[in-house]
Amino acid sequence: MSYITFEEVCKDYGEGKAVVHAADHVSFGIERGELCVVLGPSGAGKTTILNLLGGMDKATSGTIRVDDKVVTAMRTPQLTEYRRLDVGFVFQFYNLMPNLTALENVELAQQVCPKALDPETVLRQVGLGERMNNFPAQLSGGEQQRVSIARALCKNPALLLCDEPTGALDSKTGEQVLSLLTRVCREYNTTVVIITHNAGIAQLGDRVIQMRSGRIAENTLNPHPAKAEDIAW
Amino acid sequence: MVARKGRRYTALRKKMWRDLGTSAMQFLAIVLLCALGTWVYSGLDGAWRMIDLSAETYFTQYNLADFWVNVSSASKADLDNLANIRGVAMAQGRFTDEMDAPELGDDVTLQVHAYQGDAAVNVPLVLEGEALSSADLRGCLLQRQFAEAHDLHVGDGLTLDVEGTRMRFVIRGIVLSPEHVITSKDVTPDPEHYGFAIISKDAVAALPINEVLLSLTPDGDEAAVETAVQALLPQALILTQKTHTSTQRTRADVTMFKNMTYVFPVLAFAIAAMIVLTTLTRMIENQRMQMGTLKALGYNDRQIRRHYLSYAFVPSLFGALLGMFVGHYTLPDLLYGMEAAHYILPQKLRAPVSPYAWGMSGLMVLLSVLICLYAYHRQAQEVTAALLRPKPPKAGSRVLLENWQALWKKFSFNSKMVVRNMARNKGRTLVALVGLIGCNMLIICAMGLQDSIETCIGEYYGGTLSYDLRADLDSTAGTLESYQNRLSADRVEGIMEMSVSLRFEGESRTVVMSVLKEDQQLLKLGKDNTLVTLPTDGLAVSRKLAEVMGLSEGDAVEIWLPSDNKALPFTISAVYDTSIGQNVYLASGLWESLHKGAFTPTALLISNPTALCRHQLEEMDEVTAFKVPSQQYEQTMTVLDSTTAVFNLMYGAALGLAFVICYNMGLINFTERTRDYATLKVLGYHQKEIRRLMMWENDLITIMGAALGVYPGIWLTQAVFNAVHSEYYIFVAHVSISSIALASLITCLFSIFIERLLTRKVRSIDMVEALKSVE
Repeated sequence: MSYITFEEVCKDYGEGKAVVHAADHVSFGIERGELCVVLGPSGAGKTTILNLLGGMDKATSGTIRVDDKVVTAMRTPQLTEYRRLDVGFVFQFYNLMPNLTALENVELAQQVCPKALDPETVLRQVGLGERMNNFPAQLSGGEQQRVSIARALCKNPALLLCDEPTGALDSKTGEQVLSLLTRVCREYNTTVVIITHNAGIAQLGDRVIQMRSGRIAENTLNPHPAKAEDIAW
Repeated sequence: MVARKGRRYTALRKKMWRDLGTSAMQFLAIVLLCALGTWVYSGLDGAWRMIDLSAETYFTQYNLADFWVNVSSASKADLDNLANIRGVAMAQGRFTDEMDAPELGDDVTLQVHAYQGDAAVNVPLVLEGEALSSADLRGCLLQRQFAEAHDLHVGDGLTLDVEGTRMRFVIRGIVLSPEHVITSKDVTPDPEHYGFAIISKDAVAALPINEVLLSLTPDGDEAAVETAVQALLPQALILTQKTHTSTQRTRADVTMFKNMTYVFPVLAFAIAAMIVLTTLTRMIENQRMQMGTLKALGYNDRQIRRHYLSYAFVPSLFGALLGMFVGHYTLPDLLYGMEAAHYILPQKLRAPVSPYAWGMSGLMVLLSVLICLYAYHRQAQEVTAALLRPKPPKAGSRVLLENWQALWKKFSFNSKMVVRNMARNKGRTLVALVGLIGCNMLIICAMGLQDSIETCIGEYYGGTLSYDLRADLDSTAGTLESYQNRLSADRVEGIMEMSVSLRFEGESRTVVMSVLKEDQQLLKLGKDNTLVTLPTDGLAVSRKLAEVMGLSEGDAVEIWLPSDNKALPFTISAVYDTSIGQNVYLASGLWESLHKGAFTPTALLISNPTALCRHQLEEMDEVTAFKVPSQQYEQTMTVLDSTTAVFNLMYGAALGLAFVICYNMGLINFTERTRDYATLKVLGYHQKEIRRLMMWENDLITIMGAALGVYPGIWLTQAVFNAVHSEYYIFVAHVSISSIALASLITCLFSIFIERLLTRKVRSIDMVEALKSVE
């Protein structure tokens, strides 16, 4: 069985006639250590899948398994525990605490996770050794996103979920961020799921899942993933 | 064109009403705060105007005297001379004295006014029966409260002890009198034992006219008339409306409420304005993008401005008027009801909403609109394009504390975050802090006022008066030595009290002069209730009298004894720190050197009386009454209980204030940081941990606010006493530690209660929604 499995997962919003099927009987699997890109146009249900996988939202029906855990069976405290120990999140808009420095933002994650890595080391690894004591407003977009990644990595998660991580970045900084994510996947053997509407990024993935209108359109393996520097935007 | 314009306005108006709906809590806060500000003002303003109007109307309609001139006996010529003084409209002679009503009980006394001719000054208000004709030698009028207490009705008989002779009268009418708004022998009205009756002077023809009532013409000059009366009858004791107990006490209460309208409402008003400021500023800031959109759509500045000003105008107008009218129709009745327990006023008259109350309401609205205008202009200065982008987030920054790395490093992560947050939102932190300071301040003040009153009165009855029993004697009393020999008690001392007229720099006041033995020990008149020796070279006066008349040590004053036509010159040798009363003290040696009679006690002061002593006193004919300081203390406190209503009002206002402020600030804080909290949730923070973070911040502000509110609370207590200054008491702010602790505890608990309400909301944060996109 795969590391991550979705079995007939549905997520509905609204009720009665106005019901929207954000995820419509979605089933797929992702292996441990893979870099998986979920690709699709806006409204295809990518973020819904990510939210369900990250334990931020509850599925209407179906089963989601991660390793030996059944995410769909968890109650609120267990979901918190799951997010705390197993999952790292990277957002499109970074969601850093504006009144904490880069280092403190990473420490924020370290505080709640017993197996956390040293925040300073992680920040150095993402290339921010010199900017640790700056506040988010003093950092560029790319730097902020790297802080956000460092915050996720610091927890040493088995699963790293990234929602349009380069969506707010220019191509140059976007490339740096993607290269970092690839490295994380390879070096730490972390399973990385990246959501994007940018088909170019799909070339990076070991696996590419294409979504359309809440359904899986295609789930393909890519035997020769490209390097971040080589892809065209 | 007109139609187009109309349509535009409809859309904007719809937007306003919808905004009112979506930000209901915040608008409600503005409405409530504006209402709070005007409610307290309008209420207290209405209260004093109600008492004032009711009393003054009564005084005018029933022709309250301007002067009560007391003499031993006034002749027909004296009366004519008094009536002819320029400015005097009317002079009416009467005999006034206290008489026993032996058939009604042992210790029942009536103050009897025997009018010469029909009563034209201090006209009795007849409630039942009919007025008394001066030719009616057997009729009398009786005070309603006294009649009710003794179940007497029109037509019943009333026997009075007139100079040793029992005379029987028939009650013709049940009445009230403008000079008896408060009828009491001591402090509390006690209709069982004390009241007043009115008879015809002709019924007691043998008795002299010992009191002349003067009423002035509308343009009569009070000071000139008083001087003229003094010149005419130098020995007379003159009471004016300022010194006539009933009238003075009534007016003092009016003044008290009037002064309170300056202290509390200004405070409530200021705090209300501040919260309106933060709330409105925040709301306008949140409307930033919509403002840009409206501009982009082609609305002109004036239309947009008017739209946003209505945000302030509508709720503040509604709130201010609501507060004003609710205040006007609730507080005065409540406070009047409390006061009327001691007053006897025939009717309650509601004064119309005063121009000042309207003015305060207008000011509240104006202030809100100005605040809104300011907030709007700060935003509107930016160009349309800039407005359409979200406001750049405030940069985090280091706080001063971080320079002290050694300490900063020791801080827990939460503490660091809390400190930075507070520094980042200085304005909001400050407002929350001020709200809590204000809350604690008001509670401490309310408790402090009670503490201080209890302390001052307790110190007087329990400290200054250090005897256990006082027995009043009548004019047949013997010498002090005769009692000291007969009575079995630890110590028996005598006091000789008389009403005298004290004159200083043209001002005269009728005060009680107490003649005491130099070595007396039962009145501790010194500072902090210490024993002092009475000066042998002059008078000692109480602090309050010195204050009221502007006396200080070394001043030359005159004392006029009743029925004496020569002034006695004195110097002030000491000012005593007793907290109650306007009194003059004189050593008995000095008194006897004046050759105005021997030292004959009018009352005995006794410490540790035995049961036998009490029995002996009860057997003595000359003993008229007993007074026990601890009972007097209770009585005084009962009267002052009426002020409890005001204190409760303060507690209510304080908590209301704290609730609106803390909830409002907390809500703003929460709304703005929903995203932060959602991020923490995603990072795997438990609800408990997030709540703890929120609480920690609030707890810190709460503790700071409570602590910082202590001193202002004590200060306010003194400020209230200064504003409310009474003619008879000197109150010094004395707030007990336990009150401070209790007040602070209430403030903290209340703040924590609100915090609980707010932190519950963490549960409702939807991570997916909160993090969807930046808005």
